[in-house]
Amino acid sequence: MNAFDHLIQGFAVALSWKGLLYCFIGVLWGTIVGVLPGLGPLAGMTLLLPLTFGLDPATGIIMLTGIFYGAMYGGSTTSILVRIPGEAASVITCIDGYEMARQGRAGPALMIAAVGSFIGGTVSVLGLMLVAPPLARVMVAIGPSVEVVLMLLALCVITFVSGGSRLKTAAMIVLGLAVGTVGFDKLTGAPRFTFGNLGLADGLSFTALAIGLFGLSEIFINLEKSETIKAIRPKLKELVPRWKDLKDAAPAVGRGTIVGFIFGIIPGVSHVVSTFVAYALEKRFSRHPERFGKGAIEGVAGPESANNATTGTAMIPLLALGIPSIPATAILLSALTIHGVQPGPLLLTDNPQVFWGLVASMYIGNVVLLILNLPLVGIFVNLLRIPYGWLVPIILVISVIGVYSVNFKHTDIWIMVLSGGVGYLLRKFGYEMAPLLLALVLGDRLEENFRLALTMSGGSYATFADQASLIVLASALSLLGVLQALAWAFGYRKAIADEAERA
Amino acid sequence: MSGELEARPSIEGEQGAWARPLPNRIGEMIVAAALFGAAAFFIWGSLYLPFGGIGLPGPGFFPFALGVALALFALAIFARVLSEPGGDPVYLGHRDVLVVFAALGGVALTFETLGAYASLGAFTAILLLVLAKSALWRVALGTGLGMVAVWVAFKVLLGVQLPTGPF
Repeated sequence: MNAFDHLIQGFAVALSWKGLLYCFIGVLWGTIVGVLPGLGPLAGMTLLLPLTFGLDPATGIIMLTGIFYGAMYGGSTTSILVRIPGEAASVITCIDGYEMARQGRAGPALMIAAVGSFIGGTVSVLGLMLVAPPLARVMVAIGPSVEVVLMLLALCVITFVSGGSRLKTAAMIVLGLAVGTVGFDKLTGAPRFTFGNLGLADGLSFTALAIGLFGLSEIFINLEKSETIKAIRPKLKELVPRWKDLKDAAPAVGRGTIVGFIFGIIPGVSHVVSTFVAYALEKRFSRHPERFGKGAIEGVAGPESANNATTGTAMIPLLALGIPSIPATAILLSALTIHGVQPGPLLLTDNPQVFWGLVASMYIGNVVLLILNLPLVGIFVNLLRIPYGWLVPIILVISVIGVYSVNFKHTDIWIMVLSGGVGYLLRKFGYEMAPLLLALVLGDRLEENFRLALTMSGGSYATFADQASLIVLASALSLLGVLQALAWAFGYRKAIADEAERA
Repeated sequence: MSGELEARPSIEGEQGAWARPLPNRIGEMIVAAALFGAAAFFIWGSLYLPFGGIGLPGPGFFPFALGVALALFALAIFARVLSEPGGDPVYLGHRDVLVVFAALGGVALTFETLGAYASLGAFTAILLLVLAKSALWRVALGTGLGMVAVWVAFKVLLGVQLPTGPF
């Protein structure tokens, strides 16, 4: 069976009533959490994660992925109309998007953002489809030692590219790995830190920890803000861009898509880095760089295409290697594991319907998003009018029931509440939750493969420096080195500094 | 120092009046100490587990190594805090945050004993009263409709068995 036949099968899954319904629910909820400031894709995914438990794996993962890329679309709406980024990847869109809106050109900005997002998202799915299967075939042959090297590399890269203090990020990674050791040891069955409580045999509930650390802490942080939001409201007829807008935006969309696709491979903050690089690139390529910051449409088209193009690429390490590179894919990994599906090289052979169903649904989801986001932009903007005091109980009731329904243990509600408090306090002092979550997800497998590799090699640590490990390590480091160099060359740091100054 | 702290309220709204400033340096030290405490816990727990050898590690090896690493990071953070000037104070104790946190604790405590609907209903009502400052009839209506929606969505459509308590 070739890729085309598989894709046809994938469309059969994605176009079933269930596939379509949950794809729609996913992208709609994704757009909503993208629009609402403070509720990004991560919180959106963790909050609805428990709802997928009653679904089959393919449908569940289609819905969650829909939230992921839907939030990327939604984030641009508030950036342009309110100058509040719905999520981190939309920060840079605020600069020229909001300026365009102030000049009465919110419609074209929204239209170009949506079309750019659609093109970026669709091209990246094509890339995912072409790159993941051959990469998975290569990775099937690798042993546990290479997997350990890859996971350690991902964690190291997250530490170095982290926006905050590297020391704090490293501490969060180690804490996540340590918390991941709670529960029965997979290799010997020895209970660790369970204190005789069988409820902890499988470790601390990932869903409860994820919702607490991300969802709850986010809500607590938002409760401290009381902002009056004034949104610019474009009319439907104003959405149509001028010919000059299209001519200016088209190359930026192309460049943004390429940047997003390539930079999506960087673990940790790929979607944010790619938007800054795309913006800096557009400014450098422009004949009139002085227009940037004053409503240049390329400043919207490039970053918006880039952030959506990263979504497909970010799925490659997850689906082909089983290693999540960003927190959103860590949630997907957890969801797949809960459904009994092991992401990684064998996913394509053992569960092709999940992989190809997901790929097909991403094509459909991107079309749905384009249709949803343009005519309904007014409705999404109105969401900002819902008082936060009414949203909070709704979100929290869903969270509590969701967490409880995973294992039907009320201790999980306690874990959620306490981890929410801990996450809130840590965030107040500049600790990031994403590295903690990624380490929590990877911890189990890192330890298992580490000990397995040593057992297989008769206790020789040289196994982590065998030929295969070194080749994989050298290739990954070279790729990351080139990307880092490109980011610097195109003024990623300068773009961040400019934006910070502007803010 | 305290005058300077009070002159810079970082939290908006009347609810923020409950918030108290904590000097950044002290807060950072407390967090570093908590991390060190967590590290000590993992090291202590791992001592009761088979350690194995360096070549063939047992179940205690990984938690021990991670505990040691976390302790070192906590000490490094502590040292950095001491060597650098403190930043802006951090405000803790915002009224809405405390109310939501306490209400969630109440839900965790009563979810199985009182039942999901009574527990979540009371939780919703409290939050609507305190956060949204809604009129009583709106709170009652919102809570009632919310619980019906929960029953339909989770029990009827998704088949989730929620505890009913004594009711």
